[in-house]
Amino acid sequence: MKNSLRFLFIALLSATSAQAASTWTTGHGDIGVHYDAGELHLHMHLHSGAVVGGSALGVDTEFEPGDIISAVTGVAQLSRPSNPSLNPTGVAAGSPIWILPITANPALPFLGWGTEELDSGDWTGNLTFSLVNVISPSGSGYFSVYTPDGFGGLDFNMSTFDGGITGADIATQAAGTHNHRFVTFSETGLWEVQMKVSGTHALDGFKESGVESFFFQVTPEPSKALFSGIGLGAVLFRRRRPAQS
Amino acid sequence: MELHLSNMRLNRLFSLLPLLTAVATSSAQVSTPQTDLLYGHFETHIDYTLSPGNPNAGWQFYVSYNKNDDFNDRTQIVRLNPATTRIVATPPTQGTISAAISELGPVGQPIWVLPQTNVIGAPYLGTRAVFDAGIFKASFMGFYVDDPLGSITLALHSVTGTGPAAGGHFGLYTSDFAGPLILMNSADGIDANDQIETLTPDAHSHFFWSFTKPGNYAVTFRGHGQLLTGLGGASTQGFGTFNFSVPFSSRLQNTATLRLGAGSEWHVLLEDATNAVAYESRQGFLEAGTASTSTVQSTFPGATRQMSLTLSALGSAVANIVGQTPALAATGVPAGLLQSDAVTVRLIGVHGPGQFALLNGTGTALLMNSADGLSAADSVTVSRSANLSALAAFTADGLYRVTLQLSATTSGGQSVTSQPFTLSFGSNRTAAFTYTQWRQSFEAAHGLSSGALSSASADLDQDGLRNGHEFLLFWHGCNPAQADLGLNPVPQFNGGFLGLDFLRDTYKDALNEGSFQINPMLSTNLSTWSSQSPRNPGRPLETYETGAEKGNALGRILLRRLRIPVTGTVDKAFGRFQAVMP
Repeated sequence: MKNSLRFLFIALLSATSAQAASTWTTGHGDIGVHYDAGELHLHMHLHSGAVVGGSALGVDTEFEPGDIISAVTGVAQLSRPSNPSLNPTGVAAGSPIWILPITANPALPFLGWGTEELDSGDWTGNLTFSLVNVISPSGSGYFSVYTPDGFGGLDFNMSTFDGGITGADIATQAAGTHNHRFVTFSETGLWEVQMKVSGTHALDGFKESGVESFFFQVTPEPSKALFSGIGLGAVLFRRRRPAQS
Repeated sequence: MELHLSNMRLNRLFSLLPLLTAVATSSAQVSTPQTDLLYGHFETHIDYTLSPGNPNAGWQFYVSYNKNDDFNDRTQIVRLNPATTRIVATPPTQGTISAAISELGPVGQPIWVLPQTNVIGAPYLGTRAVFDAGIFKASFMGFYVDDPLGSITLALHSVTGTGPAAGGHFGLYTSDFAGPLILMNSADGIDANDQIETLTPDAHSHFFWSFTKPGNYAVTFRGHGQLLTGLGGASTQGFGTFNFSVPFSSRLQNTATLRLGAGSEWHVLLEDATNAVAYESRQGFLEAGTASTSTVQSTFPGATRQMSLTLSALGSAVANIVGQTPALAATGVPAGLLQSDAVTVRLIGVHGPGQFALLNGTGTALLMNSADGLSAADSVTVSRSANLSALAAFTADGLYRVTLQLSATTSGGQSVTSQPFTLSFGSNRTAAFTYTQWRQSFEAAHGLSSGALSSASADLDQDGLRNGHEFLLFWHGCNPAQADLGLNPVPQFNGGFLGLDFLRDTYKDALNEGSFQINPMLSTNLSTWSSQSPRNPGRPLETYETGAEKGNALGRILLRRLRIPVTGTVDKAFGRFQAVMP
C-alpha cells in the first residue's frame, strides 16, 4: 500500500509540474490561507529572505503546497525527552524525534500558520486547519503538532499516534493572525501531510478548502551549507545558569 | 513551478531607504497617546542606527506593530512610545505555577503568562530588532567576531514597580520542545545570564512573559553590542523600559476599608490593605461571604451574611490605586478643609433581594438599616481623628447596590454634599457572579417570578437593552427590571479623538470568547459603525479599544475607551454595544 501511494505521489508531481518541487531550507514561511472567488485555499507563503532551492527569495512569494518540500534536517533531531506530555508524538522516550521549533533556528525552515490574508471582520469564529491524512516514509511513522501553554503543559493540536486521525486533529486560529506550533516527525524520509482549512464567512457561510499535500524531507544529518554563519532575522539564546539552590 | 507574488510586498532594497531617513530625522522618541494593550500582535522593539562619535545614541526602544505580515518589510512598522504604552495581562494569561516552571515561583501560586503563541484575548508579544547588516560584530557564547551580518544582545537590566515591590517576579522564556527554556528570571536575581544573547538584523521572535503578582512592572532592558572593527570596534549600549500591568482581582473579600475623600473631588475608595490596592467605588466588588454571627442576627433580625468595613477619612497609603488619581487617593479628607475634619455618610438607597444594615464593629448596634425605611438617621460621621469600625450585613443571598451620600460643613461654614456613590456588594456572591445569580437577585429584588429574567436575549423592561446586555453593563448601574436606557454610556469628543468610555467587567467577558461578550461600537452617521473585539483587535493609532483609567493600577473591572482619531469637528456621534450572549 505505501509503495503504491508513493508512486502515485511521484506521478502526480510529474503530471502537474514541469519542474520538481523545490526545497525550502531556511527562513520564515507559513501554511497560508487565502479566500478567492468564494473559495478557501491553502498555500505555502514564504517570506522574503527564505531560501528555496538554494536561493533567497527577494520578495514574499506564494507557492502551491505541493511545490515546496520543507527540509527537516538533523538540526531538528533530538532524543525524545522522557516528559510524558510528549507521548502523543508517538516516539518512545530516548528515541530520535525531529521537531520544527516555534522560534527561528537559522538552520531550519521557520514554519508558521498564517491567516493574515483574511480580513478578521469577514469571518465568524476561527479558521480550522484539519489533518486529513499523513503518509509517513515507512507507513508506520507518527506526525504531531503541538503548542506549549506557558504553564509547563503541552496542547496537542494534531497527533496521528493519539487515537489516529479524527475530527479532533485540528489547529485553529482567528482570521488575520499568525501563529507558530511545534511540528514533529518520528522517522527520516519524505513525508506527505494532507490538510484542509475551513471557516465560516460572515456573508458567504461555511467554506472548506480542498485537501492539499504538504511535503517534508526529514534527514538525519545537517546540511553542511547551513553552517556557514548565523542567518538574517535570527534569535539565538542559551539556557540560563540554573538557579542557585 | 508556479509563483504567485502577493500584494503588499516591497522589495527589501527599496524598503531600507525610508527607514534610514525616518530614523535619522526622529532620533527623539515618538509621542503617542496613552494606550493599554489587552490583545493583538505587538513587539518590544529595538532600533539601532549608526551614530558616529556617540555610538550609545543609536539605540531606540519602542512598542511596535506591523501593518502587514512581512516582518522583513520595515516600511510598515508603527512605533509607539513605550512610556505611554501599557501591556496588560488579561484573564486568559492567568494560570498556576507548575513544577515545570517552579524556577519562576512557588508551585501552586498564581502566575500570569503572556503566551508565546497567538491566543485570543491575550497580548501576543514578540521581540524585534531593526538594524542593518554591517554595523555590529556577531556575538555568541560571549565572544565577538567581525561578521557581515552582526548581532546585538538584549539583557535584563532591572524590574521595578508595585508588582516587584510586593514580591512579584518577571520571567521571559521559550519552549525547547518538551518544556520551558528560561532566558530571564528576576526571581533568582538579575545577572549577565538574563539575556537573549543573539538578535541579528530584522530578528523577530516570540516568548512567554511571566509575572507572579498583580501590580505594575517596569522592565528595563539593556541592548548592547560591539561595532565592527572597521567602525571603531566600540562597545555600545542603550536602555529601554517597557510597562506591564497585572490587574488586581477587584474583589474585597470579607473586609475592606472605605476611604472617604473630599476636596477637589468627592470620592470613595474601597481599600484592600492586605494586597496594597484601593479601587474607586465602581471598580471593586464588596464580598460579604461570612455567615452572620448570632450577635449580628440578634441586632439585625434575618441577617445571613456579613463583612467587616472600616470607614476612614484618611487618605489611602497603598501603592496601587485603581480608578482614581493616586495624589487624590492619598489625601482623603484634607486636614482643615471641613469642620472637625469630619464627613457624614448617609444611606440613601438600597437595591437588592433583601435588607442591608451597617452595624457597629461589635455587631451590637445598628448604624444604618434599610428594613425600617431610610431617613437622616441612617447616617454615620467619620473624622480624620478616628476611623469607624463597622459590619455590613444582609438578609438574603444576592447582589446589592448600596447608595451613599457624603456631606460636611466647610471650615468656612458652608454645607456641601457629594454626588451619590453606589457600592456593589455580594451577599454570599463573588465578583465572578454568574448570569443565573444575577437574574435571581433581580427577580427577588423586584418580586418577579422565578425565571422571569432567564432569557439573556429578552428585554423584560422593554428599554431597548436586552437582559444580557444589562448584565454585561452591571457596573453602569443597569437594572433589567427598570427602564434605564439613559445609563448606556455616550460618546465624548476631545483631544482629536472620539471616545466611548465604559466599564469592562473581565469576569463576565474574560476576552476569551466565552458565553458573554461585549464590544463597543461608534458611529457618526448611524449607518457605518466602527468597532473592535479580541478577534478583530484593530491598531492603537486607528480605531482601538484602549484604557481610560485615572489610577496607576488596574483591576478586573477596567475602565475602557473605544477611541477613534478624528480630524476636524464631530457634529454628532453615537455609541452602542455589541453584546454576545448565549
